[in-house]
Amino acid sequence: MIFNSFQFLWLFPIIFIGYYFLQLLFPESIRKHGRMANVLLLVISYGLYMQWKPVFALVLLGVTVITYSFAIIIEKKKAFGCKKYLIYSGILLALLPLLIFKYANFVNEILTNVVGGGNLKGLNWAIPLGISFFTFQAIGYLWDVYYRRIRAEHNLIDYMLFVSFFPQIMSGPISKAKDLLPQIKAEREFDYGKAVQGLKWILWGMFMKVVLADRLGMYVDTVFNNYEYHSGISCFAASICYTFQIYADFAGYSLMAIGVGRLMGFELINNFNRPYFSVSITEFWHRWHISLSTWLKDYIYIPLGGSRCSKLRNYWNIFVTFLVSGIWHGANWTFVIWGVMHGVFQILEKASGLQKCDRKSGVVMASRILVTFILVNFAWIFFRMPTVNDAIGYIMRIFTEQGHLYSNVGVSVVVFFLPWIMLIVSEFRDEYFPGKFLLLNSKYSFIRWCSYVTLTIMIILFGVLDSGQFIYVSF
Amino acid sequence: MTIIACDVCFGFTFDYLREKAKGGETGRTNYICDNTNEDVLIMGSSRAVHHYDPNIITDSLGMNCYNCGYDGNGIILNYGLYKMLSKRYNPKVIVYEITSAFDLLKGDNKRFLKIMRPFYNRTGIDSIFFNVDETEKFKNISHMYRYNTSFTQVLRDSFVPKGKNDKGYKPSDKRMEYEPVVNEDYDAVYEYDDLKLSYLKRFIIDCRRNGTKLIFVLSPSYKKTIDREFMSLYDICKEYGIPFFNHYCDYNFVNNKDYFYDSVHMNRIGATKYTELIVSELKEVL
Repeated sequence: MIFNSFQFLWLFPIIFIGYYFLQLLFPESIRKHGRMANVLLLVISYGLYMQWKPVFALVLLGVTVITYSFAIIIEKKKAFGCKKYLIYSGILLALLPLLIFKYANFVNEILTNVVGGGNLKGLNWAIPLGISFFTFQAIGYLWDVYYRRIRAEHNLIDYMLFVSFFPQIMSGPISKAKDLLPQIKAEREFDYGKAVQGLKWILWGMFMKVVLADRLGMYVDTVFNNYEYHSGISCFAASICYTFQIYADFAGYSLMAIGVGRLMGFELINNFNRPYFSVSITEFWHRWHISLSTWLKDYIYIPLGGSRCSKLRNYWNIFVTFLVSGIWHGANWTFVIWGVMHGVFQILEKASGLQKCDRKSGVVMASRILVTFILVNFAWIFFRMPTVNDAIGYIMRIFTEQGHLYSNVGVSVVVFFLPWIMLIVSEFRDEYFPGKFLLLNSKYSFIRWCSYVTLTIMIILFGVLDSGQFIYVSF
Repeated sequence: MTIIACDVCFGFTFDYLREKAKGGETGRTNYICDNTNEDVLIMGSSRAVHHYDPNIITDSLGMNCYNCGYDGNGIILNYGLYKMLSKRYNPKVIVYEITSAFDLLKGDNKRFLKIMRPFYNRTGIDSIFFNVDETEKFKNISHMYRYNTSFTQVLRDSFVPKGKNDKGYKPSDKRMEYEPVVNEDYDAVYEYDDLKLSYLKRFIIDCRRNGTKLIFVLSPSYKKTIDREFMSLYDICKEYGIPFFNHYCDYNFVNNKDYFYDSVHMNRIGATKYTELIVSELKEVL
């Protein structure tokens, strides 16, 4: 279930009311431990997951059972060598569906190019939704058990819910077992305050997604898909639009996921923290897709040695971590290059001591934010384009092709720019004036309600309400 | 409740403004739906809007003509417009410019509903909405939704209308200054859209029932040498006995850059020459 779909509007209220209402039908002894609520949530999660291609639920179940079983076996084993063998086997098995569904064609293509000769037949399969997210979440759990950060979960229902929890399965955030499993085990009751906060996040997330991201996406698609016909200034403008589009799209959707989680009584990890105010690429990765960054740090970067090693080794660790990040995002050289670019930028920052910045000097800070934004912006071009040649061609065009700015945004200037300005002002306020000039969280109910009504009206009047697809759902 | 109240007020206000709008696209749409009385109507996409001069058709055929084409639209919108105008009168001739992406091939059909949404309450068109997307039935309960993104256009057209047209015709005086890349795939496999094809057939049947002579036309496209994507239309025309004048790859036009302002649209020079040509062909079947 995509949160910005019409289905969400009618189905989620039923799920929400049914979830709390059905719990009341069971005796308090059962309700107290949240067991029935978990069974209900599990049925809902699998039911929603099976909407698209029911057979892919077997992949989800497979990854769940493998990591569940291996975690229990690993916990029981005492010998370190044996545990090491088990963890690698478990991870390999859990990764297998991801490797087959997502990367088989990519590897096949590389082998064909290396070996030469005729084309090997590729696997023309669809990819199970959210496979990268739930696989990484399950593998993270397995590592945590291996490192004894947590105990293995013995309740299969609880563990299945941990992997398949519907608000986050499609798009994250990638939760850690130590954060989510205790919440699954705890009794959850309807909390009005939390529900209101959840609804506010859904509203703002929906605004970011359908009013801003999908609208920008129309201009972006027009220019990026036909960049050969557009001037350098148009290509650059579209790249800026894409930089905001992907942020509004992913952050908006994440916020809706967190809001839905909150309505169901869960607190999911915040995935974004105003990333375009970063003064360095290093800081950008502390603010962008935080759950993935944390995962990569905990399970790739630190096991490789982190920063507690020689400088060269540390640079290598950063490089490998962001190479994995690139590969995680997609089976294409464009994603690999995107990941490598971010890795190299961070190595250069570290080598020159630029990863931190004196925030007292406004001019220096503004310059650093601008430079970081531009670097991130150009890296996104690789992320967006279908091939490396297209990405290079696009960047070359920005610098070489003169001409007019393509200004046909499809709608009036107000519809195009007003939401954009609103987002920037909101982010600026949260970054530099936290807790001040609040609208959705104002202490005055009149201001709060005006904000709710205004946002809702803007979503209906300005939003792309037809069929906007979520960019990260394909990862 | 506040949002519902806003929605109702918004609906009343914008319905009023839309109906009163005389200029711009809103005024043009109002005219097509509520005021057309011409003998000949041109319908189709932007290629219809820019390629057919109603003045030449009027002078040559001795019948009044209006150009009802819409940028980026095809049979789904045009069928809706026809349903609305045919409640009032039946034109003698409809010349329909076919565009493969908007009339034949698979694609997102929801985009074609935008112009019709403010007219959702008109009889006979609601089924088009449901056939394209079942959820439209519920979405259109909201008056604001009907004016999604188009409310600014309605406002502008009500107070400071922009964009002139000559009996619906919008010629361009630009000339193509660049050499476009025209990709032609001789092995392409085309996936046809059942919904679009079904509306094309309904359009043909309705026109026949109402005594309107329907003619399909295909104007030139720069450097085009193949037109295989229109084969399904040939079959339909054969089945229903509809004339089809195909100039898509007409070498008298397609290789002359002076006739185009981009690779798929002719400028005023090309449009004038092409309208003169098509009029001579129309005379043969009228």
